[in-house]
Amino acid sequence: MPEKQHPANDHPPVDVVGRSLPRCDAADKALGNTKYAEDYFLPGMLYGKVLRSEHAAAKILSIDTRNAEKLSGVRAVMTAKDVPHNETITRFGQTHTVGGFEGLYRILADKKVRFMGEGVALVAADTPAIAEEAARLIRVDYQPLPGVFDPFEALKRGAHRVGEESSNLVCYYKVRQGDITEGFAASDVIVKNTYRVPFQEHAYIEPEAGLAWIDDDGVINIQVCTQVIEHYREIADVLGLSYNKVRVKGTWIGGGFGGKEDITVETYLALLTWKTKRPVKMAYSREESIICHGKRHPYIMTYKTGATREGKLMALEAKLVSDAGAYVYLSPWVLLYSTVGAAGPYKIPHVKIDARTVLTNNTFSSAFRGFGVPQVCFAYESQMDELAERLHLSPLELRRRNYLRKGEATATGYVLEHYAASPEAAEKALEALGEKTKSKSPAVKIGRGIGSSMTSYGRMVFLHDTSRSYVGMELDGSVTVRCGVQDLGGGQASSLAQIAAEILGVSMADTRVFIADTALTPIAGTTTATRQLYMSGNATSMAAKEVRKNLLDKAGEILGAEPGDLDLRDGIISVMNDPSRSVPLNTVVRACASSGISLFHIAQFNAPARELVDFKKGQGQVFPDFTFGTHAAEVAVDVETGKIDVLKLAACFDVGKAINPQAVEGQLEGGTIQGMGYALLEDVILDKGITLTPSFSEYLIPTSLDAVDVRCILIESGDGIGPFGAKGVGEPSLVSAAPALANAVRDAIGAGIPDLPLTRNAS
Amino acid sequence: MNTRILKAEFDYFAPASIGEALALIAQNGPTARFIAGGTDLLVQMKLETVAPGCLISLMKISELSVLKREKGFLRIGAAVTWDRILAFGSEDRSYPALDDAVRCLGKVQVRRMGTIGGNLCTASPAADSAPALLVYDSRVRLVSARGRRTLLLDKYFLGVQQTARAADEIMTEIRIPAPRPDVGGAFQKLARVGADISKISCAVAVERKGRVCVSCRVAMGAVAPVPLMIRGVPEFLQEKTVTASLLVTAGRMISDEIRPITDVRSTAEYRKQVAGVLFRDVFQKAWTRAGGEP
Ligand SMILES: Cc1cc2nc3c(=O)[nH]c(=O)nc-3n(C[C@H](O)[C@H](O)[C@H](O)COP(=O)(O)OP(=O)(O)OC[C@H]3O[C@@H](n4cnc5c(N)ncnc54)[C@H](O)[C@@H]3O)c2cc1C
Repeated sequence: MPEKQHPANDHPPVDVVGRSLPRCDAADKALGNTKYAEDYFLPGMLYGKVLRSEHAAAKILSIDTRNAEKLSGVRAVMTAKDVPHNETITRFGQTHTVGGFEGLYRILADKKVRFMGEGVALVAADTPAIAEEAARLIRVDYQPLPGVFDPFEALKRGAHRVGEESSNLVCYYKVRQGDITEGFAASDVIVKNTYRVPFQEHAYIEPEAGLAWIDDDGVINIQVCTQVIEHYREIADVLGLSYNKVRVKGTWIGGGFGGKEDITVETYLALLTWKTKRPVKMAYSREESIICHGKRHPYIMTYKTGATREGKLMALEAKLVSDAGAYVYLSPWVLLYSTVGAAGPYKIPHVKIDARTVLTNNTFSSAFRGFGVPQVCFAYESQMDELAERLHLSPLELRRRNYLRKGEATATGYVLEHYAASPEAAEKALEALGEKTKSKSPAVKIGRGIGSSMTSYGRMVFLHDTSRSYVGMELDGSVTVRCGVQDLGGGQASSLAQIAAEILGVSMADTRVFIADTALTPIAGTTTATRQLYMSGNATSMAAKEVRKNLLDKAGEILGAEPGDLDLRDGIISVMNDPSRSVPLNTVVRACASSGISLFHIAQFNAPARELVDFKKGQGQVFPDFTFGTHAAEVAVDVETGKIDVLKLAACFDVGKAINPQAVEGQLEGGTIQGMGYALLEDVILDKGITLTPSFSEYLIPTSLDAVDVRCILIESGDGIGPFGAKGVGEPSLVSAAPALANAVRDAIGAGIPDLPLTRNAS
Repeated sequence: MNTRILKAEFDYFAPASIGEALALIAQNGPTARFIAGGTDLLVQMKLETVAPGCLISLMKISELSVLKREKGFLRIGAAVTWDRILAFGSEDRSYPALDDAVRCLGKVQVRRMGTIGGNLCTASPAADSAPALLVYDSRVRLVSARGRRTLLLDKYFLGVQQTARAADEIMTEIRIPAPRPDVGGAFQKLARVGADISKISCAVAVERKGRVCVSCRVAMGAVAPVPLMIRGVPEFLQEKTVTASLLVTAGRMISDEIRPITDVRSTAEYRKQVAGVLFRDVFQKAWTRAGGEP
């Protein structure tokens, strides 16, 4: 392992990196040629189907599968008793095991169902219709239980116990900094509010799907749209197979947003193909997808914030309670992000945070772009605007007086090691709104708001995260990258091509990336936590630099020059001060090959590794670094109908370095609009655990008709810890959009709305 | 239920004449259904709320696709798609309320496939063409083996997705009387996103003489089991000089008259409150148009 873990910016980016080149996956997607998980077929394949619980809480008295098995065309019916290891523990440190975060979950419900939509039985049949019919023929005798659907109810003594544990409390984290009593005593103005935010659905364009088969070597192959091909180990555990007997191959993904971070179809597929020995395909319908996969956690957040007359924040007290739903999944992690993020990008001497996540019989909650930060950001940014109003300061001015700068400590006592762009970003975002729109009617009020955030990129440092990438030079001078990165549609693969092309002096067209195959591509970790550009970008950069070094050494020999004096670009290696002395890259490649010099390298990038922070006080480093930015919004509110029209949106973020500016803007636009949906309309409605919004007829998201043009401003400080000084932007792009809109509405109507969606009481 | 598959097995016919279509519906028993654009029916089939054994498409019957002005009225064949009505409305401005309604009905795909007859036959309380057609005093023409009949649209809607049409009756066309010269019309709906079913909708047709409302008709969608003709307000406004405060009162009367429900799209409380506001906006627009302004 190389010593230096933060590759320095020693390669001046000039040719490929930093340009809005068409992504390597763009043309095929535009032409409709890209295959998604559901587009694969194999001869003789069966169709899998999951029978799901119709109850949110019930005992399973018996399951009778006989009628289903008798149906012609049915090849397998499985229940919990047929699953070799039905109970698994979700554990998250691939490389470093940390305690305290485990959650049990079951492949298929056993004795008891904990939420509506929980898998109870599996079917494989010759056609989707037969599979459907067979599932209908399975008789499950349920004894309904009262269940519990509200996290506060679930915390009460004697509440219905969702799981087998003695309490519904999943975990409790605390942050203690300074002395909160002192902080409020020193405050001239104190605002206190309780905020509520709903479940949010990922609503990716591609519902979960996959295809599994057993290959000639007896290996179970699963081709699936997933953010985490590394679940192959858990799948192997379920089947009791060794890890090299399960291979997961990721497809291009039609959106993940965290919803494809947990296992979806892959274990079911593995079980059915293992049982039938035939290829099995499974694809969820939209309703099934909405009903069964994890959602963004609803939170109830009580915030008390105090400031001096001069607008200096003195104290912040936050009590967070989130609804984990029926199984633990990623709830403790999400809560940790909320806890660390609860005070926002502000310098506050006295902080007290109490955060709990609680099991209920609702659909489980799990990862969703922003991972616990959008919720708290809505709360702390709403607090800021109310404080600003009380202090007669502009929202921007109040923030300016309190933003954390490099070298200052966050609420969790981590001293920021890198540039914190908040002041600059806030100013630019607001400025980008341009002149204020004039209202055309007395009933329509125009308002503006901003929301600032500090969102981590890269996983928690106590996980000791790693990524690997292979970069190789082909004999014709083209470049091959192999990296186990999953591409969600965000350009994860293409960025790696751009980085390798830059370092090896070739064009994007000459660079080919092979991704997401646990058998053939070096394992690169999850495409989550805004980590892939940072982690796999660094690994790819490291590997490419090794290959480049070999090439330059050889070229130096050929040209009789020092490798350090050589320049490599456009497929030619030349002497920097005397470009007439040059040699084609091809020639150097062949020279290396014939003299046994390696033309490939696999690099492993290790994120900074720390030990687990004790969350009784919550002081220490939790994340490798943060991305800072601000959203600004202008809205028109019709005070007679409650209708909110979004007039303008702007997003300004310090992205460190835009490897591909257009791709970065794509993230900013998408995140902002998804955040707009969160602010204005999205709401998964559950009635005693039953989903009332199972399709896009009830669960509405903004479409192209609703999206406004997002004015994107990129700050490139170069002070990120990714390749070329890049930071991550996938999740940050969503986080502060909702509070910017909420604050704009507050500005328009003169009162804050403490609930999302903002239109809940005006519809 | 799996919305990725059409579970029902069905026969499919696309007859070229009304006679053939009527014969087919008679031959194929009670589970046979007519289908036009399918934008309502296919959704129901996927949700398994209906399972027709036979589908009889009406899209090849030329009589059902007329769209023309005749003396005294406009004829719109039941199988005319929204696209065509939209194109017609941009040339012929006689029915601005209908034009407004079609402009906010569905989006590209639904407009290309969906038909006006299908909208009225599904008879959702939120059907966007209904309030506009109601305020223009439209009639629907039905045909069955028993003969032809014409019904006032106002008498056609009976309950949630229930109409006076018998299962074996084909709706052939909608006839809209030509409005008198000083009539202005408008329609507006409130919805949550750009492409959405109405939370509430309102259509107004008003005949204006200077500042006096000679007569008006008001209809609302998604506030009752059927698209609703509003009774009290037209009487109240008749022969009155229109002022802002008069409209506020009229709006309040509407809020009092309607009995909406709470569903996933909206609440009863919100619908009641906003109905009066919506009415005022729509009335204002129709009023301006009646004065010859766009
Ligand atoms: C995405 C989407 C958006 C939509 N948006 C809107 C909207 O904004 N506003 C709105 O009002 N509606 C909307 N709809 C509903 C639907 O598109 C309309 O009601 C449409 O007009 C239905 O027409 P169709 O030809 O598709 O009907 P079909 O689905 O073909 O038929 C509907 C019903 O009417 C019967 N039928 C059809 N034609 C006849 C006839 N001539 N005689 C006898 N029976 C007949 C059929 O048997 C069936 O029961 C939307 C639907 C979708 C899927």
